[in-house]
Amino acid sequence: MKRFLILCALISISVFSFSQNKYTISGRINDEAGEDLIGATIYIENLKTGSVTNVYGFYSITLPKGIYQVVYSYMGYELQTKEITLNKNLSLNVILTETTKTIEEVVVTAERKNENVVKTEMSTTKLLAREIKRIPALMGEVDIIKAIQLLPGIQATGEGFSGFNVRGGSPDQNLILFDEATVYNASHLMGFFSVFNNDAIKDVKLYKGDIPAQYGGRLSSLLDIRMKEGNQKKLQATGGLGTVSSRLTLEGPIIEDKWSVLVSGRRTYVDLMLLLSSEDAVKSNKLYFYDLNLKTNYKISDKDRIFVSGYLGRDVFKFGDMFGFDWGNNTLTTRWNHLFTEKLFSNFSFIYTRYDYKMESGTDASGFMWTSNLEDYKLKADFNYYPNPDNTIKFGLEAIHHHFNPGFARGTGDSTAAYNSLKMPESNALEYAVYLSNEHKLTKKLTVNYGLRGSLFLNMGEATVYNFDDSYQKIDSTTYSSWDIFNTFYGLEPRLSLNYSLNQKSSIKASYSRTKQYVHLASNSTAGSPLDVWLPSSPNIDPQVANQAAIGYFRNFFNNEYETSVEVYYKDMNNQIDFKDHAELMLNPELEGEFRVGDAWSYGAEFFIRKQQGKLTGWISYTLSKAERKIPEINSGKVYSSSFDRPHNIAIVGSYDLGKRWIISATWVYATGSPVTFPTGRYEQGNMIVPIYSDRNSYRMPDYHRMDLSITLKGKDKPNKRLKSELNVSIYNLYNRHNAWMIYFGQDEDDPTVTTAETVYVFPFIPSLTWNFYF
Amino acid sequence: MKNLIYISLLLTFLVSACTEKYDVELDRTYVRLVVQGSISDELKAHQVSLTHSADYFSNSPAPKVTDAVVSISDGENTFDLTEVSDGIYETDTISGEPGKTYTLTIYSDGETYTSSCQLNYCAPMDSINFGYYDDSDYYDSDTTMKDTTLYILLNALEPSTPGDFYLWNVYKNEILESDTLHELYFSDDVFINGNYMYDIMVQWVEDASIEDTITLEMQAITEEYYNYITQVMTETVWNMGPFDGPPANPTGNISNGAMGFFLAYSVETITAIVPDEVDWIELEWY
Repeated sequence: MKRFLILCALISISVFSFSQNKYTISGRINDEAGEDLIGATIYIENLKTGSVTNVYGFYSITLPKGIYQVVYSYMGYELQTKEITLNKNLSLNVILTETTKTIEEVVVTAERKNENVVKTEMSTTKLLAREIKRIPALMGEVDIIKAIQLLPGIQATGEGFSGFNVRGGSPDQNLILFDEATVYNASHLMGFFSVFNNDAIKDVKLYKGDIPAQYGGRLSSLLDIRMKEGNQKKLQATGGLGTVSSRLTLEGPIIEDKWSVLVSGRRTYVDLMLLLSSEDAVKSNKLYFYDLNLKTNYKISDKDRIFVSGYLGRDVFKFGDMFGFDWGNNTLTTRWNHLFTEKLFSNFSFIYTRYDYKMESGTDASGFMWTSNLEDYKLKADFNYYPNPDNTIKFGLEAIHHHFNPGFARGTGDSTAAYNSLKMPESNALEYAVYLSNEHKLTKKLTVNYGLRGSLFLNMGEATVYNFDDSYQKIDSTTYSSWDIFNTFYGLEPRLSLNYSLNQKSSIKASYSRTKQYVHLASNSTAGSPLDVWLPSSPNIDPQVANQAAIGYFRNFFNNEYETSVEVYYKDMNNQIDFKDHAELMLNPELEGEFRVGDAWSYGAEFFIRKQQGKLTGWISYTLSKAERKIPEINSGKVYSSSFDRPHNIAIVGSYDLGKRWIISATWVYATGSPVTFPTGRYEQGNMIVPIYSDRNSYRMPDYHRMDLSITLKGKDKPNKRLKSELNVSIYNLYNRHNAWMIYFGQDEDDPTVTTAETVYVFPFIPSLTWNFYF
Repeated sequence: MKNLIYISLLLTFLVSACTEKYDVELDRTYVRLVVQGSISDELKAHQVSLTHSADYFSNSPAPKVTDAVVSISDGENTFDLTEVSDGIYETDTISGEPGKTYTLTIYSDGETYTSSCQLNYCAPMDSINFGYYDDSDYYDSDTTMKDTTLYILLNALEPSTPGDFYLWNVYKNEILESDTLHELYFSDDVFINGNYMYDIMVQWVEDASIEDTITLEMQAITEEYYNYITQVMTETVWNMGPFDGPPANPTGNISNGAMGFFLAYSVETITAIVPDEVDWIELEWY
């Protein structure tokens, strides 16, 4: 509470120190299609100050009466300078044009601002959809999460997987927001593809530590993905035919500049091959996934705007009538932007998200069905207040109702059912948060962003909670009736970051953040599976807590053409979840008894060089890190390496524009092998050889490296041709390295007394072809 | 049910996986006593085998542990075991009784190892049938030949007490077919407790011919043993790499750091002659 009062006092001092005769310029910055540009800069030449647009493309800046040169700019867009005579409040919407259309005129981008150096936030990286598109992709499927895995401090959970670890955190510690809706399982097809269709996405931003006070609920990172709003000017189609899937996105205005709609779909068609089979049993099998994105936004007035966006995605597996398995996410986001005054922007959201799966077998009396689902209802209000150019205040609150139905399995033969039912207890929880933060320019050189988030978590009936003794044996259970609050957790989460500009080219940044996580994924495999379930904190499971500090040096070279940074971080995590040996995590009503809790920590240094303009673009990232855990009941209480500890991690991403029509891109990645547990001894049992294992994670897989290549040929650009198309060839694993995906220890087939080790590799040289179009 | 999940998970894993020999140096580890022993309600000489563990790439049969002093006690009587061959210890011809708890005691190399296990009651079986899969559903072939692998289908009433665990062995012409641990079928009663099991698949025999004598043996085992063999399977033939949790040693029931298991169980058997093909039941693919 005391901290909160100090924060309020600080903010009031900064807000109320204004003088008379000040006016506000506010509005939105859009691209030509009417899409809001997130993080675009407004720079006042005369005063050497400025502001940036928020996630809805809105900006507001309050200045004394006068005449100003205002520069509007955004990465990859031509900058615009306007002379403004400020003698009243002004509403000014600005449209910026993409520079790719005039790529020869290098001059245009020469004056780009050194945003990365001057902004306070650190440990973040922003990727543009078109930047992601250039990265060679597995089977030609452009994938945001695969692109993110190439950034410093981030690594894939395993080869080909779309799960990722951020600075030694587990994959369930990443908050993945898709238009503000939490996505609980971001993977398709056992994790090899992510659920995000790049064609429907506008902007992706990853926060590795310095998570704004506005967000919480996960320890390690925030992946903020924003869907496109839809073209406000004209009907537009974007699509592609690929090796494994096809995509189509349609967008356009219903009322020009007022109401637009976007519909985007993607479906894989591996199973269509099965139709070629002459056997009916084979034909009736299904194996595909699809994604459907919908978004509409309506500008009621300059002050009010409504957005509705939804996502529907599902993986479907079906083996005749006999076995079916499907899973997927649904999200719905409804938002209302309202401008109270030129200085006070607000957004109110209602968000629904659901993850569920269903497995079915048989149709008659021996039929069996297993279902699981998780639902969130979220209400949220966010306010941005722009009192003066030196302060940007954000505050708001949110409330989430979680409903967990982790597993229910039963026979489907009604009264004749051969199988009994098994149900894991359902539960409910309420998660509340309030936050207040201010980005405060203290001096010309020093900017501080300070904020505080208060979170409250309540377990609520209807629920059954098992009580366990000290050795995790179930004693009895307690049942709570509907709406009965039976357990409470709360916490304060301070967030602080500062930027000290050494000069126009370089700065030093530092940050500290505390994060709390109240829901946990019960998964002990590195790959994860669609069957994994989320559980709330409860009388048996405490919330996870992390404290992270980071310091970094940022410097740009050659007129801001090259951005470089070095960051070091230390992250301390408590109440970290692991599971007892041979834990039973599926359909186990007493699942909470399988949890084992302890501490984890990670530290490292991240080096990053990035070039975003010119013919050659890309980045090089190198991460040197360590991630360890200590959990009393695991590995005899000894410290062990986290499964995602990869000390050296390198990614090189390059893309080159060869003339007007050709683009060549390549990536190379290297990572130390992940820690694994190998057998050191063996014994015989039932005529089989059973391994005796080393300490947890005391060996390493062979080092991993791989190069991918992609070549894009754009169709000839003729002035009267509306259809534009391009052909892309992607090659995954160019030099066909047999990277070990797992190491299998077992008995030799010919001589069972001999034990052998084999590496299993799954992704050899894989070429793919994609045709993309746009009109 | 669990196998079904595993199969479906693996089927979804469509990309072609290839293997390559992997040369790795592994640390050495200390030697542990390994016990494999049981007592049942059958009237016979019950066996306990003692071996030593070895380094993983030792690549020779497990060393036998000789000259140990082994006994089994039911709380009232103690049965001493005699070493009949190297590392194999046997009781006299006796039978265990359901409801009793049996304790195994081993003195070897100056150390004492103990283990105890309750002998559970086994419900009777009613009958067995034979089933087969028609492969032509899935393969383009003109052959109408039925697969010669026959599946044993059990009919029995599962008792209404929850927490029963079963293991099935199969004999063809009095020879044990399921002589390796991964050929055993085992199950809990979570989904079938108190139900009548109609033609539930519990074992299989390869290359079976008409007129062969098939004996199905059902054992009522303990929860600890069910977990133990599940864990052994998870660490060996069921290994799914990154889709599995971290590897760990199976939890046996022998004290003092020894590996292995001492099981007490009761047995029911049923014998049938393989009938003509017309009487085989075609099984559905799931």
